[in-house]
Amino acid sequence: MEEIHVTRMELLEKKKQIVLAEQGADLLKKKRDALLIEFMSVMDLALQTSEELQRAAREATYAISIARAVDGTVALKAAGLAVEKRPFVEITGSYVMGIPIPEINKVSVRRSVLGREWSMLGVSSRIDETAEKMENEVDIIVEVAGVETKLKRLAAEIQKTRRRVNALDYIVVPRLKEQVKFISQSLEERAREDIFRLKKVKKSLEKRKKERTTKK
Amino acid sequence: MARLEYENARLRSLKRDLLSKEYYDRLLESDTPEEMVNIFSETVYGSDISAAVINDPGYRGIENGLKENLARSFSKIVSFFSSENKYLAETMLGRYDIWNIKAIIRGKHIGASYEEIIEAVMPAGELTEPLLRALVEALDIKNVIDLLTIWGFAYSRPLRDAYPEYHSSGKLLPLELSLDFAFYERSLKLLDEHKNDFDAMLLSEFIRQEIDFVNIMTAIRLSSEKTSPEDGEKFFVPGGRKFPLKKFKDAVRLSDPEMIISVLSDTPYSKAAQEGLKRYLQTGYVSAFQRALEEFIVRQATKLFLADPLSSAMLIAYFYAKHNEVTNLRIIVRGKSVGMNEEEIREAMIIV
Repeated sequence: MEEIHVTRMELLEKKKQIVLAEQGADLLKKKRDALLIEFMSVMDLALQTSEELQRAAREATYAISIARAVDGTVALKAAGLAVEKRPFVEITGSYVMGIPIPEINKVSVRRSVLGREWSMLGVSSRIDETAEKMENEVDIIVEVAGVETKLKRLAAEIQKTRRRVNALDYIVVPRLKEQVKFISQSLEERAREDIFRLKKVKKSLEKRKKERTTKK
Repeated sequence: MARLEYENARLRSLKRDLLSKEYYDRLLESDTPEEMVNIFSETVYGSDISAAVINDPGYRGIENGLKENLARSFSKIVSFFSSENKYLAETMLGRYDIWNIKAIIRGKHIGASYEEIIEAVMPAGELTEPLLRALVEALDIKNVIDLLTIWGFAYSRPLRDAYPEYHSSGKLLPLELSLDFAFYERSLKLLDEHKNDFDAMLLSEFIRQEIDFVNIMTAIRLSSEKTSPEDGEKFFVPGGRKFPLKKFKDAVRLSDPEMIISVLSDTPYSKAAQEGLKRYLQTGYVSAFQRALEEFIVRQATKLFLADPLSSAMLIAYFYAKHNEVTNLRIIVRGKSVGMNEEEIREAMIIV
């Protein structure tokens, strides 16, 4: 338990702290609301890209199944050996309400039919279409990764802010108010005791004075 | 004129092993890979599939078994053709050598492992499995070309010619294109050397038709990429029958694939193109067009079973029939493994 000095200075200090804590809580609530607005807009984008990813994955799976069935796994593996390019992502940072957010700047892996390493004379259009669908899926995966990272950062910050607001609203401010109440009560109690003591001293002095007068 | 009595007798015996439609129906009705293996055990695929599923159970093992069987069947053809007639089989199966060399140089280009490359080759041509293994073990593309040169392999020269461009650009395309062109050029040259031979001429006609199909598909793919006819010209394979360079350029220039019909209207491929276009419009995929052309060529080829029984017609018909059969079986196996329904599987198959 925190040691409390029952003094007028302490009372003033605690009252100042309450004002500061309430102002802090207000600011944090505003920050939380702003983050929530940002979170909701990113959430819409995340849902949209996630749906896009599901659709791209479905199309890619279908294309690869057909190519595997008609051209065979061997043909797909042989074509796959010509693919050297790996997804390249550049990660930079930006700030949203003072929170550092990684920004993934993707470089698309999609290539034209002529941009692929293999000769189209010996590779069927089914394999080309499969490559196209897969490249599209990889592009969307990178996009989803960027959006989801942003979403996670924002969610974590909202959670942190909410915890701080709750701590101020439900723990810090009530505790300070308790302390102010305690100090005020103690000071009042002390004042009453002082008055009582003074009255008692006065009464005693008066009694002594009266006795002295009677003796004379 | 070299007659192919012995070779065709062997091919007729192989033809007897081709599956009837009844097997397709039974396989389509099966629910598990085990049931499929049982059905296959009654066929020529039985031993290859049984051996493959030991190492790799399930649908994948069946597919590996089908690959083994195809490679074995085609290698057998090369082995029983007399030296005098071998060029016919080699012309037909040389495409697998091209395929294998491409897979190996691709693997070397990206630094793939031995296992990765060996899974992508199919020893069905002149290059037997030990030779392919030696090529896969080579250090780099230069070593592969050197080995092919030492063995006196026909396609080493185009590779040697294209290597400097690969070396300076770091791009595989020059090597791959040189192989594709060399295959058709060599095939036609070998067949033209036997100009008075009906067998050679029949096969030559088929190769020329195949070149037309390759060019038609290339033109459609280039047109969908909005490539200029001048840029696309380097992909044109000379030697076709009814689809010359002018038509190729016209087709590449097309802004709308629907217009391909107009370019092909005065060729024997008009009907196949119409069917291809119908499928393309239904699905939006260029590959649907390709499948229609493949169906046309398979039907044309398998009709040759009814032609002169002593000519190379039997070789052409068997090659396409066997290739198509393995493709159909793979479609069933793959289709079942990914949960396609019977109708979808049947649509993807070419049943002749």
